[in-house]
Amino acid sequence: MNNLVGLINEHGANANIVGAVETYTVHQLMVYANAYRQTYSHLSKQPAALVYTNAASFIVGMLAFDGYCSRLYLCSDVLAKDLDANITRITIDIADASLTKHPSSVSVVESFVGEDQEQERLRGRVTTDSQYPNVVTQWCLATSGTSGKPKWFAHTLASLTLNCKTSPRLRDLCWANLYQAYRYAGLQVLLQVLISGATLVDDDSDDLLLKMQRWVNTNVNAISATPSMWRQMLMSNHLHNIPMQRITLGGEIADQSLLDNLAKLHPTASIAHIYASTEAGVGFVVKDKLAGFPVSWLQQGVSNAQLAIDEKQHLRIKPKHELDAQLTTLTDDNGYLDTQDLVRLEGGRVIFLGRASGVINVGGNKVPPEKVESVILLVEGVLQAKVYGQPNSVLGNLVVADIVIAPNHDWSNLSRTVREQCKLLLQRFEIPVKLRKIDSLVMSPTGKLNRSDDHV
Amino acid sequence: MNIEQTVQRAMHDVAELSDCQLIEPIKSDTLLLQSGLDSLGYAMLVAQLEEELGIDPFTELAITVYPATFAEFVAVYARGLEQQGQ
Repeated sequence: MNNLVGLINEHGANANIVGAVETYTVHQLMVYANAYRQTYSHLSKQPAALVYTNAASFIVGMLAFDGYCSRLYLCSDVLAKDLDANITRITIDIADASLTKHPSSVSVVESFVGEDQEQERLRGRVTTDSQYPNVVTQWCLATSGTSGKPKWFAHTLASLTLNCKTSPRLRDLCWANLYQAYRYAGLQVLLQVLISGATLVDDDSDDLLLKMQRWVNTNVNAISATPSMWRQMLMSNHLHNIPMQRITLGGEIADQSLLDNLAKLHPTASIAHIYASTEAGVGFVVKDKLAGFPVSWLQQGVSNAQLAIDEKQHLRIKPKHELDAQLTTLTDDNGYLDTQDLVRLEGGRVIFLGRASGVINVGGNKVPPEKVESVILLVEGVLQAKVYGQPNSVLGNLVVADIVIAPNHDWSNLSRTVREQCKLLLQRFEIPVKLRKIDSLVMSPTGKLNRSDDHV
Repeated sequence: MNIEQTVQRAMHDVAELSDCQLIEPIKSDTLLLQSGLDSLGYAMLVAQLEEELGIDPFTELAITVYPATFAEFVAVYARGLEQQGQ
Protein backbone atom coordinates (compact mmCIF):
# COMPACT_ATOMS: atom_id res chain seq x y z
CA MET A 1 0.00 0.00 0.00
CA ASN A 2 1.28 3.43 -0.92
CA ASN A 3 0.02 5.44 2.01
CA LEU A 4 1.24 6.21 5.50
CA VAL A 5 -1.28 3.97 7.25
CA GLY A 6 -0.18 1.06 5.08
CA LEU A 7 3.49 1.67 5.82
CA ILE A 8 2.83 1.86 9.55
CA ASN A 9 0.83 -1.36 9.48
CA GLU A 10 3.52 -3.14 7.52
CA HIS A 11 5.87 -2.91 10.48
CA GLY A 12 3.37 -3.10 13.33
CA ALA A 13 1.72 0.03 14.65
CA ASN A 14 3.58 0.67 17.87
CA ALA A 15 4.57 4.32 17.84
CA ASN A 16 3.90 6.50 20.87
CA ILE A 17 3.91 10.28 21.02
CA VAL A 18 4.72 11.71 24.45
CA GLY A 19 3.13 15.15 24.45
CA ALA A 20 3.52 17.91 27.02
CA VAL A 21 0.52 16.58 28.99
CA GLU A 22 -0.54 13.29 27.52
CA THR A 23 0.92 10.27 25.73
CA TYR A 24 -0.83 9.06 22.60
CA THR A 25 -0.54 5.71 20.87
CA VAL A 26 -0.71 5.65 17.09
CA HIS A 27 -4.05 3.81 17.50
CA GLN A 28 -5.51 6.76 19.39
CA LEU A 29 -4.18 9.15 16.78
CA MET A 30 -5.77 7.02 14.06
CA VAL A 31 -9.16 7.35 15.75
CA TYR A 32 -8.81 11.12 15.60
CA ALA A 33 -7.58 10.85 12.01
CA ASN A 34 -10.68 8.95 10.94
CA ALA A 35 -12.84 11.58 12.62
CA TYR A 36 -11.04 14.43 10.90
CA ARG A 37 -11.33 12.72 7.55
CA GLN A 38 -15.09 12.58 8.04
CA THR A 39 -15.21 16.22 9.08
CA TYR A 40 -13.29 17.18 5.96
CA SER A 41 -14.79 14.55 3.65
CA HIS A 42 -15.21 17.18 0.93
CA LEU A 43 -11.40 17.31 0.65
CA SER A 44 -11.17 13.86 -0.90
CA LYS A 45 -8.79 14.20 -3.86
CA GLN A 46 -8.53 17.95 -3.19
CA PRO A 47 -5.47 19.94 -2.01
CA ALA A 48 -5.25 20.98 1.63
CA ALA A 49 -2.79 22.73 3.96
CA LEU A 50 -1.94 21.15 7.29
CA VAL A 51 -0.93 23.79 9.85
CA TYR A 52 1.49 22.67 12.59
CA THR A 53 0.48 22.95 16.26
CA ASN A 54 2.20 19.99 17.96
CA ALA A 55 3.60 16.62 16.93
CA ALA A 56 0.66 14.40 17.92
CA SER A 57 -1.88 16.66 16.20
CA PHE A 58 0.27 16.97 13.08
CA ILE A 59 0.50 13.19 12.87
CA VAL A 60 -3.30 13.01 13.10
CA GLY A 61 -3.46 15.26 10.04
CA MET A 62 -0.83 13.23 8.21
CA LEU A 63 -2.70 9.98 8.91
CA ALA A 64 -6.03 11.55 7.97
CA PHE A 65 -5.10 13.18 4.70
CA ASP A 66 -2.26 11.14 3.19
CA GLY A 67 -3.82 8.91 0.55
CA TYR A 68 -6.95 11.09 0.79
CA CYS A 69 -6.07 14.60 -0.42
CA SER A 70 -4.40 15.22 -3.78
CA ARG A 71 -1.80 17.57 -2.27
CA LEU A 72 -0.89 18.17 1.34
CA TYR A 73 0.96 21.42 2.09
CA LEU A 74 2.83 21.05 5.38
CA CYS A 75 3.13 24.46 6.97
CA SER A 76 3.29 26.81 9.92
CA ASP A 77 0.61 29.47 10.31
CA VAL A 78 3.06 31.97 8.79
CA LEU A 79 3.64 29.79 5.72
CA ALA A 80 -0.10 29.16 5.44
CA LYS A 81 -0.71 32.89 4.86
CA ASP A 82 1.34 32.70 1.72
CA LEU A 83 -0.64 29.89 0.14
CA ASP A 84 -3.32 30.23 -2.49
CA ALA A 85 -6.54 31.36 -0.82
CA ASN A 86 -8.49 28.47 -2.37
CA ILE A 87 -6.57 25.83 -0.44
CA THR A 88 -8.35 24.73 2.73
CA ARG A 89 -6.28 25.26 5.89
CA ILE A 90 -6.61 22.54 8.52
CA THR A 91 -5.41 23.28 12.03
CA ILE A 92 -5.64 20.37 14.44
CA ASP A 93 -4.89 20.51 18.15
CA ILE A 94 -6.06 17.36 19.86
CA ALA A 95 -4.86 18.65 23.23
CA ASP A 96 -7.00 21.76 22.90
CA ALA A 97 -9.91 21.67 25.37
CA SER A 98 -12.06 23.66 22.94
CA LEU A 99 -11.96 20.66 20.62
CA THR A 100 -14.52 18.98 22.84
CA LYS A 101 -16.89 21.83 22.01
CA HIS A 102 -16.40 21.33 18.30
CA PRO A 103 -19.58 19.55 17.23
CA SER A 104 -18.17 17.56 14.39
CA SER A 105 -15.18 16.25 16.26
CA VAL A 106 -16.08 14.60 19.55
CA SER A 107 -19.17 12.79 18.41
CA VAL A 108 -17.26 11.34 15.51
CA VAL A 109 -14.21 10.48 17.61
CA GLU A 110 -16.37 8.60 20.08
CA SER A 111 -18.23 6.74 17.38
CA PHE A 112 -14.95 5.36 16.12
CA VAL A 113 -13.77 3.79 19.33
CA GLY A 114 -15.36 0.44 18.68
CA GLU A 115 -14.73 -3.24 19.19
CA ASP A 116 -13.26 -3.68 15.72
CA GLN A 117 -10.63 -1.09 16.40
CA GLU A 118 -9.66 -2.73 19.67
CA GLN A 119 -9.19 -6.06 17.89
CA GLU A 120 -7.06 -4.43 15.20
CA ARG A 121 -5.00 -2.75 17.91
CA LEU A 122 -4.29 -6.16 19.44
CA ARG A 123 -3.22 -7.38 16.00
CA GLY A 124 -0.80 -4.44 15.77
CA ARG A 125 -2.60 -2.57 13.02
CA VAL A 126 -4.34 0.76 12.74
CA THR A 127 -7.62 0.90 10.88
CA THR A 128 -9.02 3.41 8.46
CA ASP A 129 -12.63 4.05 7.65
CA SER A 130 -14.09 2.49 4.55
CA GLN A 131 -14.28 5.69 2.48
CA TYR A 132 -10.58 5.75 1.74
CA PRO A 133 -9.99 6.93 -1.84
CA ASN A 134 -6.38 5.70 -1.83
CA VAL A 135 -4.85 8.41 -4.00
CA VAL A 136 -1.09 9.04 -4.10
CA THR A 137 -0.83 12.31 -2.17
CA GLN A 138 1.83 14.84 -3.08
CA TRP A 139 3.46 16.16 0.07
CA CYS A 140 4.55 19.77 -0.37
CA LEU A 141 7.34 21.33 1.66
CA ALA A 142 8.44 24.96 1.60
CA THR A 143 11.91 26.35 1.18
CA SER A 144 13.04 29.98 0.96
CA GLY A 145 13.51 31.22 -2.57
CA THR A 146 16.09 33.86 -3.54
CA SER A 147 13.54 36.60 -2.94
CA GLY A 148 12.76 35.14 0.48
CA LYS A 149 9.33 34.04 -0.69
CA PRO A 150 8.65 30.37 0.09
CA LYS A 151 8.86 27.95 -2.80
CA TRP A 152 6.91 24.71 -2.57
CA PHE A 153 8.40 21.39 -3.61
CA ALA A 154 6.33 18.27 -4.06
CA HIS A 155 7.38 14.86 -2.74
CA THR A 156 5.77 11.49 -2.55
CA LEU A 157 5.61 9.47 0.63
CA ALA A 158 7.76 6.88 -1.14
CA SER A 159 10.61 9.37 -1.62
CA LEU A 160 10.22 10.86 1.86
CA THR A 161 10.49 7.46 3.51
CA LEU A 162 13.38 6.09 1.41
CA ASN A 163 15.66 6.53 4.37
CA CYS A 164 13.30 5.34 7.11
CA LYS A 165 14.55 2.08 8.56
CA THR A 166 12.82 -0.54 10.69
CA SER A 167 14.22 -3.08 13.13
CA PRO A 168 13.46 -4.24 16.69
CA ARG A 169 16.35 -2.07 17.90
CA LEU A 170 14.93 1.01 16.16
CA ARG A 171 11.55 0.31 17.75
CA ASP A 172 13.12 0.77 21.17
CA LEU A 173 14.41 4.23 20.35
CA CYS A 174 12.94 7.28 22.03
CA TRP A 175 13.40 10.38 19.87
CA ALA A 176 13.42 14.00 20.97
CA ASN A 177 11.56 16.43 18.72
CA LEU A 178 13.86 19.38 18.03
CA TYR A 179 12.89 20.36 14.52
CA GLN A 180 9.89 22.09 13.07
CA ALA A 181 7.96 19.08 11.85
CA TYR A 182 6.63 20.84 8.75
CA ARG A 183 10.20 21.16 7.47
CA TYR A 184 12.06 18.36 5.76
CA ALA A 185 14.29 17.33 8.69
CA GLY A 186 11.45 17.42 11.21
CA LEU A 187 9.22 15.39 8.95
CA GLN A 188 11.97 12.79 8.63
CA VAL A 189 12.01 12.34 12.42
CA LEU A 190 8.21 12.03 12.58
CA LEU A 191 8.12 9.48 9.75
CA GLN A 192 11.02 7.48 11.21
CA VAL A 193 9.20 7.30 14.56
CA LEU A 194 5.87 6.28 13.00
CA ILE A 195 7.24 3.67 10.62
CA SER A 196 9.72 2.08 13.02
CA GLY A 197 7.20 2.06 15.88
CA ALA A 198 9.45 4.14 18.13
CA THR A 199 8.55 6.85 20.66
CA LEU A 200 8.69 10.62 20.16
CA VAL A 201 8.99 13.07 23.03
CA ASP A 202 7.40 16.37 22.02
CA ASP A 203 7.37 19.61 23.97
CA ASP A 204 6.86 23.24 23.14
CA SER A 205 9.48 24.72 25.46
CA ASP A 206 12.02 27.11 23.95
CA ASP A 207 14.39 26.53 26.85
CA LEU A 208 16.98 23.98 25.78
CA LEU A 209 18.01 23.12 29.35
CA LEU A 210 14.40 22.40 30.32
CA LYS A 211 14.00 20.30 27.23
CA MET A 212 17.13 18.31 28.03
CA GLN A 213 16.02 17.72 31.61
CA ARG A 214 12.74 16.39 30.25
CA TRP A 215 14.60 14.10 27.87
CA VAL A 216 16.46 12.60 30.81
CA ASN A 217 13.14 11.93 32.57
CA THR A 218 11.46 10.50 29.50
CA ASN A 219 14.36 8.20 28.51
CA VAL A 220 15.21 9.92 25.25
CA ASN A 221 18.09 8.10 23.52
CA ALA A 222 17.89 9.37 19.93
CA ILE A 223 18.24 12.96 18.75
CA SER A 224 18.28 14.53 15.31
CA ALA A 225 19.60 18.10 15.25
CA THR A 226 21.67 20.57 13.25
CA PRO A 227 25.41 20.83 14.04
CA SER A 228 24.63 24.22 15.61
CA MET A 229 22.06 22.66 17.93
CA TRP A 230 24.54 19.92 18.86
CA ARG A 231 27.19 22.51 19.75
CA GLN A 232 24.66 24.20 21.97
CA MET A 233 23.75 20.89 23.61
CA LEU A 234 27.43 20.26 24.23
CA MET A 235 27.51 23.60 26.04
CA SER A 236 25.25 22.17 28.74
CA ASN A 237 25.85 19.75 31.53
CA HIS A 238 23.07 17.48 30.39
CA LEU A 239 24.15 15.72 27.23
CA HIS A 240 26.25 13.15 29.05
CA ASN A 241 23.17 12.25 31.17
CA ILE A 242 21.27 11.19 28.08
CA PRO A 243 22.11 7.58 27.13
CA MET A 244 22.43 8.33 23.43
CA GLN A 245 22.08 5.40 21.05
CA ARG A 246 21.50 7.42 17.89
CA ILE A 247 22.96 10.81 17.04
CA THR A 248 21.87 12.37 13.77
CA LEU A 249 23.17 15.60 12.28
CA GLY A 250 21.76 17.44 9.28
CA GLY A 251 20.94 20.79 7.72
CA GLU A 252 24.48 22.16 7.92
CA ILE A 253 28.03 20.97 7.32
CA ALA A 254 29.09 18.49 10.02
CA ASP A 255 32.70 19.28 10.88
CA GLN A 256 35.24 16.80 12.20
CA SER A 257 35.77 18.41 15.59
CA LEU A 258 32.04 18.28 16.36
CA LEU A 259 31.84 14.64 15.24
CA ASP A 260 34.87 13.85 17.44
CA ASN A 261 33.34 15.58 20.45
CA LEU A 262 30.07 13.69 20.11
CA ALA A 263 31.86 10.37 19.59
CA LYS A 264 33.99 10.95 22.65
CA LEU A 265 30.98 11.76 24.84
CA HIS A 266 28.89 8.87 23.50
CA PRO A 267 31.33 6.23 22.20
CA THR A 268 28.69 3.53 21.73
CA ALA A 269 26.13 5.69 19.92
CA SER A 270 25.73 5.48 16.17
CA ILE A 271 26.48 8.87 14.62
CA ALA A 272 25.07 9.72 11.22
CA HIS A 273 25.19 12.91 9.23
CA ILE A 274 22.48 13.19 6.67
CA TYR A 275 22.93 15.05 3.43
CA ALA A 276 19.50 16.08 2.19
CA SER A 277 17.60 19.03 0.79
CA THR A 278 13.99 20.14 0.86
CA GLU A 279 14.02 20.47 -2.91
CA ALA A 280 15.42 17.07 -3.84
CA GLY A 281 14.65 14.92 -0.81
CA VAL A 282 17.16 12.78 1.03
CA GLY A 283 20.50 12.22 -0.63
CA PHE A 284 22.63 9.97 1.54
CA VAL A 285 23.76 9.19 5.06
CA VAL A 286 27.37 9.06 6.29
CA LYS A 287 27.96 6.84 9.30
CA ASP A 288 31.73 6.49 9.64
CA LYS A 289 32.10 9.46 12.02
CA LEU A 290 34.25 11.33 9.50
CA ALA A 291 33.41 14.70 7.91
CA GLY A 292 32.33 14.68 4.26
CA PHE A 293 31.91 11.36 2.47
CA PRO A 294 34.29 8.78 0.88
CA VAL A 295 35.59 9.62 -2.59
CA SER A 296 34.78 6.03 -3.62
CA TRP A 297 31.06 6.93 -3.54
CA LEU A 298 31.62 9.04 -6.65
CA GLN A 299 32.23 5.79 -8.54
CA GLN A 300 30.04 3.36 -6.64
CA GLY A 301 27.15 5.63 -5.68
CA VAL A 302 25.29 5.23 -2.41
CA SER A 303 22.12 3.31 -1.65
CA ASN A 304 19.62 5.77 -3.12
CA ALA A 305 21.70 7.92 -5.44
CA GLN A 306 24.60 8.33 -7.85
CA LEU A 307 27.04 11.15 -7.13
CA ALA A 308 29.37 13.28 -9.26
CA ILE A 309 31.40 16.50 -9.07
CA ASP A 310 31.10 18.87 -12.03
CA GLU A 311 33.69 21.26 -13.47
CA LYS A 312 32.51 24.05 -11.13
CA GLN A 313 33.23 21.82 -8.11
CA HIS A 314 29.48 21.48 -7.43
CA LEU A 315 28.20 18.20 -6.06
CA ARG A 316 25.73 16.60 -8.45
CA ILE A 317 23.30 13.95 -7.36
CA LYS A 318 21.07 11.56 -9.26
CA PRO A 319 18.47 10.13 -6.91
CA LYS A 320 16.48 7.02 -7.71
CA HIS A 321 13.20 8.81 -7.12
CA GLU A 322 11.65 11.33 -9.48
CA LEU A 323 12.44 14.98 -8.80
CA ASP A 324 10.01 17.90 -8.67
CA ALA A 325 9.55 19.38 -12.17
CA GLN A 326 10.81 22.78 -10.93
CA LEU A 327 14.29 21.24 -10.71
CA THR A 328 14.51 20.38 -14.42
CA THR A 329 16.64 23.45 -15.19
CA LEU A 330 19.22 22.32 -12.63
CA THR A 331 19.34 18.75 -13.96
CA ASP A 332 21.72 17.68 -16.75
CA ASP A 333 20.96 15.31 -19.63
CA ASN A 334 22.07 12.31 -17.57
CA GLY A 335 19.64 13.13 -14.75
CA TYR A 336 22.20 14.59 -12.34
CA LEU A 337 20.90 17.51 -10.25
CA ASP A 338 23.21 20.43 -9.46
CA THR A 339 22.96 20.64 -5.65
CA GLN A 340 24.75 24.03 -5.64
CA ASP A 341 26.96 22.69 -2.88
CA LEU A 342 30.66 23.42 -3.32
CA VAL A 343 32.94 20.49 -2.51
CA ARG A 344 36.64 19.70 -2.46
CA LEU A 345 38.58 16.42 -2.47
CA GLU A 346 40.73 16.03 0.62
CA GLY A 347 42.54 12.86 1.69
CA GLY A 348 40.10 10.34 0.26
CA ARG A 349 37.07 12.36 1.34
CA VAL A 350 34.72 14.75 -0.41
CA ILE A 351 34.43 17.75 1.92
CA PHE A 352 31.61 20.31 1.83
CA LEU A 353 32.62 23.98 1.60
CA GLY A 354 29.30 25.83 1.47
CA ARG A 355 26.66 26.98 -0.98
CA ALA A 356 27.78 28.08 -4.43
CA SER A 357 24.69 30.26 -4.76
CA GLY A 358 25.87 32.34 -1.84
CA VAL A 359 22.88 31.29 0.31
CA ILE A 360 24.04 31.64 3.90
CA ASN A 361 23.31 28.82 6.34
CA VAL A 362 22.83 30.31 9.80
CA GLY A 363 22.37 27.38 12.15
CA GLY A 364 20.32 25.48 9.58
CA ASN A 365 18.29 28.54 8.51
CA LYS A 366 18.88 29.51 4.89
CA VAL A 367 19.37 33.21 4.24
CA PRO A 368 19.34 34.38 0.61
CA PRO A 369 21.79 37.33 0.52
CA GLU A 370 19.70 39.11 -2.12
CA LYS A 371 16.79 39.31 0.33
CA VAL A 372 18.91 41.07 2.97
CA GLU A 373 20.53 43.31 0.35
CA SER A 374 17.12 44.47 -0.86
CA VAL A 375 16.20 45.54 2.69
CA ILE A 376 19.48 47.43 3.19
CA LEU A 377 19.08 49.17 -0.18
CA LEU A 378 15.77 50.62 0.99
CA VAL A 379 17.68 52.98 3.28
CA GLU A 380 18.27 56.40 1.77
CA GLY A 381 21.97 57.04 1.36
CA VAL A 382 22.89 53.39 0.73
CA LEU A 383 24.30 53.06 -2.78
CA GLN A 384 25.36 49.43 -2.83
CA ALA A 385 25.20 46.48 -0.46
CA LYS A 386 26.74 43.05 -0.55
CA VAL A 387 25.64 40.44 1.97
CA TYR A 388 27.57 37.25 2.62
CA GLY A 389 28.29 34.66 5.28
CA GLN A 390 31.11 34.86 7.78
CA PRO A 391 32.21 31.47 9.18
CA ASN A 392 31.31 31.05 12.83
CA SER A 393 32.14 28.19 15.14
CA VAL A 394 28.78 28.32 16.94
CA LEU A 395 26.24 28.73 14.14
CA GLY A 396 28.22 27.69 11.05
CA ASN A 397 27.83 31.12 9.47
CA LEU A 398 26.66 34.60 10.39
CA VAL A 399 25.32 37.26 8.07
CA VAL A 400 27.53 40.30 7.44
CA ALA A 401 27.09 43.19 5.00
CA ASP A 402 29.48 45.44 3.06
CA ILE A 403 27.86 48.79 2.34
CA VAL A 404 28.76 51.66 0.03
CA ILE A 405 27.16 54.95 1.04
CA ALA A 406 26.54 58.16 -0.83
CA PRO A 407 28.84 61.11 -0.16
CA ASN A 408 27.72 63.56 2.54
CA HIS A 409 25.99 60.84 4.56
CA ASP A 410 27.08 60.05 8.08
CA TRP A 411 28.03 56.37 8.50
CA SER A 412 27.11 56.24 12.17
CA ASN A 413 23.54 57.47 11.59
CA LEU A 414 23.10 55.52 8.42
CA SER A 415 24.28 52.21 9.88
CA ARG A 416 21.83 52.68 12.76
CA THR A 417 18.99 53.20 10.29
CA VAL A 418 20.07 50.11 8.34
CA ARG A 419 20.02 48.08 11.53
CA GLU A 420 16.55 49.35 12.45
CA GLN A 421 15.24 48.64 8.97
CA CYS A 422 16.63 45.10 9.14
CA LYS A 423 15.06 44.52 12.56
CA LEU A 424 11.75 45.66 11.16
CA LEU A 425 11.70 43.59 7.98
CA LEU A 426 13.88 40.55 8.60
CA GLN A 427 13.94 37.56 10.92
CA ARG A 428 16.59 37.70 13.64
CA PHE A 429 18.98 35.24 12.02
CA GLU A 430 18.78 37.23 8.76
CA ILE A 431 19.94 40.51 10.28
CA PRO A 432 23.62 41.25 9.53
CA VAL A 433 25.66 41.04 12.72
CA LYS A 434 28.26 43.31 11.20
CA LEU A 435 27.90 46.25 8.85
CA ARG A 436 31.13 47.30 7.14
CA LYS A 437 31.51 50.59 5.29
CA ILE A 438 33.50 50.10 2.12
CA ASP A 439 34.39 52.40 -0.77
CA SER A 440 33.13 50.35 -3.70
CA LEU A 441 31.84 46.94 -4.71
CA VAL A 442 33.05 45.03 -7.73
CA MET A 443 30.41 44.55 -10.39
CA SER A 444 30.50 41.98 -13.19
CA PRO A 445 30.56 43.17 -16.84
CA THR A 446 26.79 42.57 -16.93
CA GLY A 447 26.31 44.97 -14.06
CA LYS A 448 25.54 42.30 -11.48
CA LEU A 449 27.13 42.15 -8.08
CA ASN A 450 30.25 40.04 -8.35
CA ARG A 451 29.82 37.05 -6.05
CA SER A 452 32.82 35.13 -7.35
CA ASP A 453 34.91 36.35 -4.43
CA ASP A 454 32.35 35.09 -1.93
CA HIS A 455 33.66 34.53 1.53
CA VAL A 456 32.76 30.83 1.59
CA MET B 1 40.59 45.19 31.29
CA ASN B 2 41.08 41.52 32.06
CA ILE B 3 39.67 38.71 29.97
CA GLU B 4 36.70 38.15 32.28
CA GLN B 5 35.69 41.80 32.05
CA THR B 6 36.16 41.76 28.28
CA VAL B 7 33.83 38.77 27.95
CA GLN B 8 31.28 40.36 30.33
CA ARG B 9 31.26 43.60 28.36
CA ALA B 10 31.00 41.76 25.04
CA MET B 11 28.05 39.77 26.41
CA HIS B 12 26.23 43.00 27.28
CA ASP B 13 26.95 44.52 23.86
CA VAL B 14 25.72 41.43 22.09
CA ALA B 15 22.61 41.13 24.27
CA GLU B 16 21.65 44.65 23.25
CA LEU B 17 22.30 44.05 19.58
CA SER B 18 20.57 40.70 19.45
CA ASP B 19 17.55 41.70 21.55
CA CYS B 20 18.35 39.27 24.36
CA GLN B 21 17.78 39.98 28.04
CA LEU B 22 20.92 39.13 29.99
CA ILE B 23 20.46 37.98 33.58
CA GLU B 24 22.18 40.06 36.27
CA PRO B 25 24.69 39.46 37.64
CA ILE B 26 26.64 37.01 35.48
CA LYS B 27 28.63 34.93 37.98
CA SER B 28 31.34 32.31 37.57
CA ASP B 29 28.89 29.45 37.94
CA THR B 30 26.16 30.98 35.76
CA LEU B 31 25.20 28.39 33.16
CA LEU B 32 25.79 29.79 29.70
CA LEU B 33 22.48 28.47 28.44
CA GLN B 34 20.73 30.33 31.23
CA SER B 35 22.53 33.63 30.91
CA GLY B 36 19.91 35.03 28.56
CA LEU B 37 21.84 34.75 25.29
CA ASP B 38 20.36 32.38 22.74
CA SER B 39 22.37 30.50 20.10
CA LEU B 40 22.44 33.52 17.80
CA GLY B 41 23.63 35.62 20.73
CA TYR B 42 26.46 33.14 21.40
CA ALA B 43 27.45 33.10 17.77
CA MET B 44 27.62 36.89 17.81
CA LEU B 45 29.58 36.83 21.06
CA VAL B 46 32.19 34.48 19.60
CA ALA B 47 32.38 36.67 16.45
CA GLN B 48 32.79 39.84 18.52
CA LEU B 49 35.45 38.32 20.76
CA GLU B 50 37.29 37.13 17.67
CA GLU B 51 37.35 40.71 16.45
CA GLU B 52 38.52 42.06 19.82
CA LEU B 53 40.92 39.32 20.88
CA GLY B 54 41.94 37.95 17.51
CA ILE B 55 41.03 34.34 18.34
CA ASP B 56 38.11 31.96 18.00
CA PRO B 57 39.21 29.22 20.40
CA PHE B 58 36.32 26.98 19.32
CA THR B 59 37.82 26.74 15.84
CA GLU B 60 41.48 26.96 16.68
CA LEU B 61 41.68 24.67 19.70
CA ALA B 62 40.70 21.05 19.63
CA ILE B 63 38.26 21.54 22.48
CA THR B 64 37.28 18.28 24.12
CA VAL B 65 34.80 19.69 26.61
CA TYR B 66 32.50 22.53 25.64
CA PRO B 67 32.13 25.20 28.34
CA ALA B 68 28.92 25.01 30.36
CA THR B 69 29.47 27.91 32.79
CA PHE B 70 30.65 31.50 32.42
CA ALA B 71 33.93 30.64 34.20
CA GLU B 72 34.57 27.73 31.84
CA PHE B 73 33.84 29.96 28.85
CA VAL B 74 36.33 32.58 30.08
CA ALA B 75 38.89 29.83 30.75
CA VAL B 76 38.64 28.64 27.13
CA TYR B 77 39.56 32.15 25.96
CA ALA B 78 42.32 32.53 28.55
CA ARG B 79 43.83 29.25 27.36
CA GLY B 80 43.45 30.32 23.74
CA LEU B 81 45.28 33.59 24.36
CA GLU B 82 47.98 31.78 26.30
CA GLN B 83 48.56 29.32 23.44
CA GLN B 84 48.59 32.17 20.95
CA GLY B 85 51.29 33.91 22.97
CA GLN B 86 53.51 30.84 23.01
